Amino acid sequence: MKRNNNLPLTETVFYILLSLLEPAHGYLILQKIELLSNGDVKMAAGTLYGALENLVKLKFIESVKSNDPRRKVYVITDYGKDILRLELERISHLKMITEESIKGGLV
Amino acid sequence: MIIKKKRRFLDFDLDKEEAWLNELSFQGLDLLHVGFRYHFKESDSKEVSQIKIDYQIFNNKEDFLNYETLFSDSGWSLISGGHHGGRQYFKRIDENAGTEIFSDTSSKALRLKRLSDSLLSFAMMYLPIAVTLSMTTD
Repeated sequence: MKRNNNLPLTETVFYILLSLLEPAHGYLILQKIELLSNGDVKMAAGTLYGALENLVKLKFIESVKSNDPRRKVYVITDYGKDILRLELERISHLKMITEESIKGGLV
Repeated sequence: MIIKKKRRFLDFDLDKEEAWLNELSFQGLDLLHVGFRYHFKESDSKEVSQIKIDYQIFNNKEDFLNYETLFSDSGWSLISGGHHGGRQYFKRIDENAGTEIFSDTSSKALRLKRLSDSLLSFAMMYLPIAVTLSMTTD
């Protein structure tokens, strides 16, 4: 099976998609990512802005109606969810084969 | 008192420009506005401001507003720039905010790409005029 050519995702993209399973505006996304990563990933505003623009272009996310004219609200698309699932499969496979090697005493 | 300094439009090194502005802030000159020249205010405050520059082009005012709000929510206040696009000058206003506006090298590299792309399209826009001028002078 040919792999989707958007894979693998960067950690930044993975966290953004995960944060957008529910609608959120930019700063809320940054806070969610910090929380989800146990404080390991502190994304800066310029990095997030560029990533959001790119993910909208790729149709992984879309902007939805916002009550606040100063803050766009984004949410993951169905295609974005498919990508997230494919990426999870890829990571799960890596996890599985690595654990087998550990059990076999190779690592 | 307002102090004005000449702007070198052909300087594309944004890191160098940031370092220069931060050095001036250390000397007591706080950046107020960037137009055809830099405008500074003389300040006695010992506080040194941290300036960062982004380069962005916006599709509309709404996109710009969303951009500016994301930065101000994150502790970076826009000093100079706007929805017409180009260099956006930010000053850190929250001590708890990080010291960078890009948290990885690839997104920072894209800043340079946006800058060089728009300089290139700017040059292409003026190319026909330059060609016409060179032909009419013959």
